[in-house]
Amino acid sequence: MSQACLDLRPLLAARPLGVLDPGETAALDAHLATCAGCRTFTGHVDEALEASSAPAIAPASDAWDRLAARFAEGRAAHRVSLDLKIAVSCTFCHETLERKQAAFCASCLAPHHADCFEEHGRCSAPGCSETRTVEPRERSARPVRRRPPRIVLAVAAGLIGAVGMAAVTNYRRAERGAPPNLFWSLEGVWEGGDFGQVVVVGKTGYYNAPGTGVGRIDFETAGKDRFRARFMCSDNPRFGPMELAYVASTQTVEGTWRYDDDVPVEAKGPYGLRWTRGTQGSRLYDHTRQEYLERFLQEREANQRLQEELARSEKERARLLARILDADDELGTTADRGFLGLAFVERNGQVFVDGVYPQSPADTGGVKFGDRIVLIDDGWVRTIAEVRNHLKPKARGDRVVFHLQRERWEGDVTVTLGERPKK
Amino acid sequence: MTLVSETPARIDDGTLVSAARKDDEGAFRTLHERHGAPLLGFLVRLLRDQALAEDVLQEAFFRVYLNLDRCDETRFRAFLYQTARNAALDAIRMRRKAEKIAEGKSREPLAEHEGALESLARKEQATRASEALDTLAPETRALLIQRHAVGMTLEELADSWSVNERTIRTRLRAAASELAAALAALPGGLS
Repeated sequence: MSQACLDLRPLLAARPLGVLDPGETAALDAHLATCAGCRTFTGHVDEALEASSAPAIAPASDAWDRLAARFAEGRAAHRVSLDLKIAVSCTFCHETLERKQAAFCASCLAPHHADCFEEHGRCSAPGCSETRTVEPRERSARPVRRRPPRIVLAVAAGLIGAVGMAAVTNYRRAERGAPPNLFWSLEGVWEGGDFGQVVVVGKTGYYNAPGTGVGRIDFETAGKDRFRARFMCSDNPRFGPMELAYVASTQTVEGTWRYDDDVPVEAKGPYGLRWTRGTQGSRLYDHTRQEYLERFLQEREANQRLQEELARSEKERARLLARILDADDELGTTADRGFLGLAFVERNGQVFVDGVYPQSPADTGGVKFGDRIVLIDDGWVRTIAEVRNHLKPKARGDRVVFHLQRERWEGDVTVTLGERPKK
Repeated sequence: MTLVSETPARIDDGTLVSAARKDDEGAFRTLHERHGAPLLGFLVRLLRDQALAEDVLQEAFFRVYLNLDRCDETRFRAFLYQTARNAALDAIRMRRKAEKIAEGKSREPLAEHEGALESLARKEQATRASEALDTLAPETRALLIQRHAVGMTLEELADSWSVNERTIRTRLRAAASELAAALAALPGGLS
């Protein structure tokens, strides 16, 4: 018998059990064909396993009956166990009594028959002389409160979160919206130079107040270095008064902001008012500047169209010039008043140059079509009537200072009134 | 419920188990009749003692009845044989303990399974190949009988031993190795 045979013995034994791989079976067959000893061993294995055969043996005829009897016993035992009650024994007579019928000593809670306690007169527990009893307390019928399932808690948390998010979104939407308008007033010291766009940015709203063109800042008083502005801002009363975050302009100006009731804004908190060059800004600022720019470009285009129309015919031109002269005539009534050469138009509380007479003092001085007249000799002008008031006292040879605004430029132009040309 | 127990031949084990769970004693009786005889054969072969085997049979069915809720309907036979085998192994242990007490050896530290001396003694008694099986450990024997004599599939065996099929395969091969070793150890030069 070789070592190979010994190694194969376990496989030979396992073969009848059907747990060998096909490869192993093939190898066994090949070996068995040549090895008589292993063939004998296979016979022994079969014999041993054959001895394991377990022919069915019918159980005794009463097997089921005995089993059924056992089931019945088991069920009865189960029922009995359900009928058990909590019993205690009387401290006085040592007989059992049901807990529900016991009278308990008020001091030491020793259980007694009610009769026994009465007979003894007091508690029969050693060392206790209590004469009162208490009834067993009924178990509260209130159902046990269970914690809601986790899924419910999760859904509830999600709902709360969603409502919270909705509230925040609503708040932000209200911030952006335009609730009741409030008027604020602004007083400041203006150091001069360009005065461009003013943007007031608040915590709960913002207001765009372009210094030129149509805008809602209303400069009430004018001076070279002082101004007073009135403007509207969106202020949502639901969230308290607006707090000014910063004010941006194209010019550094120190200013004092006041409410309409003349309470200085500074008194209400650190607002950090700063007038800076327009580089400081925010998305809001950029947005408003863009809005303003678009509006300005539209106006300029309209003016250019007008110019082109005017230039179309000489006749038209002559008519225009006559109109300018007529307009200029309306400015003053004195006999020797000087000639300016400008026609004005009033729009949204602002005065614009509507026409410039060629070679007139205004033309040579640098006034252009479309310029906005902001100040005349340091006086604010908002209507043609105000222009007239300013120019009425002027005579030929007088100098008039116009403060003008046009796109990307703002400044003073000095015009010396001259001779009126003939029609 | 009576319908189930009246036509036992055509009804499979799963339906009967479901009915028995609803306290249909007739259904359980059908199961008892169907599986009682083969199971008793298995137990007798495993225990080599008919009276003890009948007791174990009753115990097994009783345990199955108590634990019907835990039984998978499609695997009743595996569950039944598992329960019966455990009951039989318990009985073997009890018997061995009783024998040891009778011999006054109970105070010696006992191995959980059969002692080396006892095993050797039984091996010496076995002189023929047909007795080789009896020299193996009861668990191994039960496994071989279930596979070869009862003819359970590997899947059923896996359920019955609460392991997976791969493990059952390994255990069967190990059992075969033990059997080969037992055959080799037989006196008379069977090898």
